[in-house]
Amino acid sequence: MKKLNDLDYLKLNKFKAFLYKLKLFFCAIPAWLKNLVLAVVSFFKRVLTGIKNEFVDIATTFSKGNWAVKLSFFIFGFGNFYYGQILRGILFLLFEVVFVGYMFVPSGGIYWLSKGNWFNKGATVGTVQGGFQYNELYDTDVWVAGDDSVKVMLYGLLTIIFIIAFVYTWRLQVKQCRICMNITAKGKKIKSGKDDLRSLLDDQFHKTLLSLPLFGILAFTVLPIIYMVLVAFTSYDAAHDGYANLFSWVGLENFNELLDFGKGGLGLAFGEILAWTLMWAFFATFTNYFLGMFVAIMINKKGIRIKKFWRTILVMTIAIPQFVSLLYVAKLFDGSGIIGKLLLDWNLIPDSMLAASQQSLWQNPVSAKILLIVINIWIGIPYIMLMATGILMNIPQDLYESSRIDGAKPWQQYTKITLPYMMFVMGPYLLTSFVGNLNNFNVIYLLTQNNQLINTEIGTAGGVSVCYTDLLITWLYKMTLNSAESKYYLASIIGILVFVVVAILSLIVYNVIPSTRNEEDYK
Amino acid sequence: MKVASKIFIWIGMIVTFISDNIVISMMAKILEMDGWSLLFSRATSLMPIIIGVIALLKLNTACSKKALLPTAILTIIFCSPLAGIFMLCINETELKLNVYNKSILGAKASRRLSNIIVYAILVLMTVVWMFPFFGIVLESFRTETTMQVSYLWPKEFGFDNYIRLFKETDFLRWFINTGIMGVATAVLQTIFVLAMSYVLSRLRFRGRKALMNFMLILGMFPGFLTMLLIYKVFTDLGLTMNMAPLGLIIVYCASSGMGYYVSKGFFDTIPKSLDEAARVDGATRFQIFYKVILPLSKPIVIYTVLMGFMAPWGEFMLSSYLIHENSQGMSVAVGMFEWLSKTMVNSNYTMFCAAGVVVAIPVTAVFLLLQKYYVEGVTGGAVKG
Repeated sequence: MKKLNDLDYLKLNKFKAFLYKLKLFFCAIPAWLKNLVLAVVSFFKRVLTGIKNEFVDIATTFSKGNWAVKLSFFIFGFGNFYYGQILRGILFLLFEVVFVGYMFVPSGGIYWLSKGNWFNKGATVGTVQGGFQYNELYDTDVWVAGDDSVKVMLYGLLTIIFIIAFVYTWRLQVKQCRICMNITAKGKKIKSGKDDLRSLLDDQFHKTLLSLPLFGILAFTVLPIIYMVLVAFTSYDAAHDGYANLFSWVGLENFNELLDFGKGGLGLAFGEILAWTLMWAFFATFTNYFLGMFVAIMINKKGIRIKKFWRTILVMTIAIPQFVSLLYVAKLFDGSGIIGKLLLDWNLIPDSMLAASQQSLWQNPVSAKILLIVINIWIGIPYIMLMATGILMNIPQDLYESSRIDGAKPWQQYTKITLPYMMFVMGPYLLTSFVGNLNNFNVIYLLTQNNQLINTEIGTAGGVSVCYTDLLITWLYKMTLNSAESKYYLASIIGILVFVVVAILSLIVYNVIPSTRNEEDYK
Repeated sequence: MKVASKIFIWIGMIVTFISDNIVISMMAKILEMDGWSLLFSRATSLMPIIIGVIALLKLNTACSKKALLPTAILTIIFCSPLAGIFMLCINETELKLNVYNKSILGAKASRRLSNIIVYAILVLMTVVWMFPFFGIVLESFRTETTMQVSYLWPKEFGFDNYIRLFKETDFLRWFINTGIMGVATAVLQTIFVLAMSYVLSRLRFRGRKALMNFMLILGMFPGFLTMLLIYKVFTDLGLTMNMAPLGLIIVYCASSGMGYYVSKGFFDTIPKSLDEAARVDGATRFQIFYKVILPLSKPIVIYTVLMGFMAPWGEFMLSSYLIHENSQGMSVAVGMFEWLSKTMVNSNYTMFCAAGVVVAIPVTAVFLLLQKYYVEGVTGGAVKG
């Protein structure tokens, strides 16, 4: 497609300019896709050559190394001992001993791995089903424990991670031996254990600082998420909880179940909830953003006094724990609450849609959704107001003055100066807040849980009754609560789908917004 | 004439608005209107007010009779016939004054007008924002009933709810639990977050970018689903139910390193030359962190502590999952949520309000004391990301 130069572009009227931009966007898609494919291909190429180089390197190390290096291929840290790095040697050796011990003791690593039937469709996770068996001693049926699928999967996973760590460590110490050999060949001094410890506070300080937080993230986020992804391929629910009943691998069947749009399938429920979730996130983000900015501009206006007072009033809503204010506000709008009663007396809701016993704004899908968004404005404006205030103060004042001399009206100043500047700085924040609203459990659950409004078309889906106001996150929360209807596998699939939605959104936004920021820019 | 028409516009606006509403209410009863149609007809009763405001503005700006004519006709129809007729009779010379006003006094007057509007909106907002807080305090002193009522001012004041709160329920236990969680989370989370953000901001090492991208992607999963596994493991370890506060501290803190964005933004703004000068003087990286950067980072340390302390007070999702209806291990959020369930709300509503006040006071006090640092964190760090 032909690109217009700047002058020609400015000649277009607004509508044509918009069309031109739209065209540009769509014309860019093929090139974008091509680049994506190329990037993926080159990535795999790089990975493959990396692996190849790694093997070549290992082979040359083995062939050219002296006997100590060769021996360290089998005994961890032997080379380190040989070259006098006692501390490293001890650590490596200890790791190998622990690893080998763990793998080969009875009910160690190999035991757990062999029990898993990994990804074998139809097979159970764990092999021995627990059950009641006749016991001669007590002369009655006694529970004989079998495998616990949850444990089998968890320990199997841990074992796999352990094996990966083992291979990595093996490679690391072989490399180190070779480096030691080269250094001694040049006649230089090798780092001692003391040097190693000292460098942890200097050159390697990042390792010291990162060790604790990274361990936390690995153990409490990465591991559970991998586990969750695995659960999506099993039949793990309340009836197959792993202990009383083993659960089994089912492949992609769960995805079919969730995306089944036929009659009685979950597709309808999923689609409707997803639509409302997206709608909610959109409205919640943008109403807050524009109104919050508006409030900030008002408070910062010249000639407005006691600015600090107005801000403090708004900040109060941040200070008070959300659940107190949310639960109370939910009750205010209840049928017998002060505001709710007032609104009902004005006949805002058609009586035909209300049963006599449940007179409340929460009992009508439309008014409930509007209420949620309005109350969310009440919650959200203060945050945006604070942020926008900071940015407003950073906008150079001479921009406003020179535009005023040129005859710009306040509205023009807003659309041509304030808004673009805000958008530029807050673009990334808008994305984060959109994602935050997709998963905004607190507002939805606390406001609506005590005033549940069951979706009559769907009724129950995934073992729980679905409300008109349910987001994906509240739906899956209800699904995982420990009850007889818990469907863990459905919850984890929804989790994966939420991830997909968020990832796609972020990809698009980061490619479109102007402030794809360079990290070093603001230094 | 101008003054007279202004007065009649005001009178017209008020009288028409009120009479309109009375008529609409009567009509609604006769015609049995409800819902959206009624809402719509009520909205039309705003018409005289809108027209009136336009007319008032026009009176101050129009400079010829011709310019005033359409507004006057609209005023006759919708707002106040008398005012409209007066408007038509306005002297041309009186309007000419507007030209002078517009150029000399206009800017000042319009600013004053807009300031008045802004003040009006701000006062209205103050009322809306403060209403729930006054409401909750008033309700907590209500003693004539424990149910929810539809009037604000209590008929009888008393401390019954507070006395009941501490005598009959486990509230004190919940409060202590949450307090312990708040303090522990504040300390641990600060260590985690500061370590992470400092490393990512000021140290350069292999894999730094990859680590940041990895955590970005990790953050896209709904965090709640980690509970699937954590709950199972914690049950085996005995960290749920009664011991849930301990388990929750671990859960809150362990992954808190992923929330490094705000404080990284802060560390990014400290000049790099400080580090370089210290390195020239022979300081190790640990000494730079401890002796140079940390003393400069008071605002962000306080911000992180504040956030850590506030988190357990408002958090509901994870805690309700781990606590699982066990009264001894509850946090205030989970415990008080139960009181508003359909079966319990009638006997516990005013007590809930009292508990809300007790919870809100310390947290709000701490927050407002440290407000300055919070604002700094939000405006500085959050935006830069």
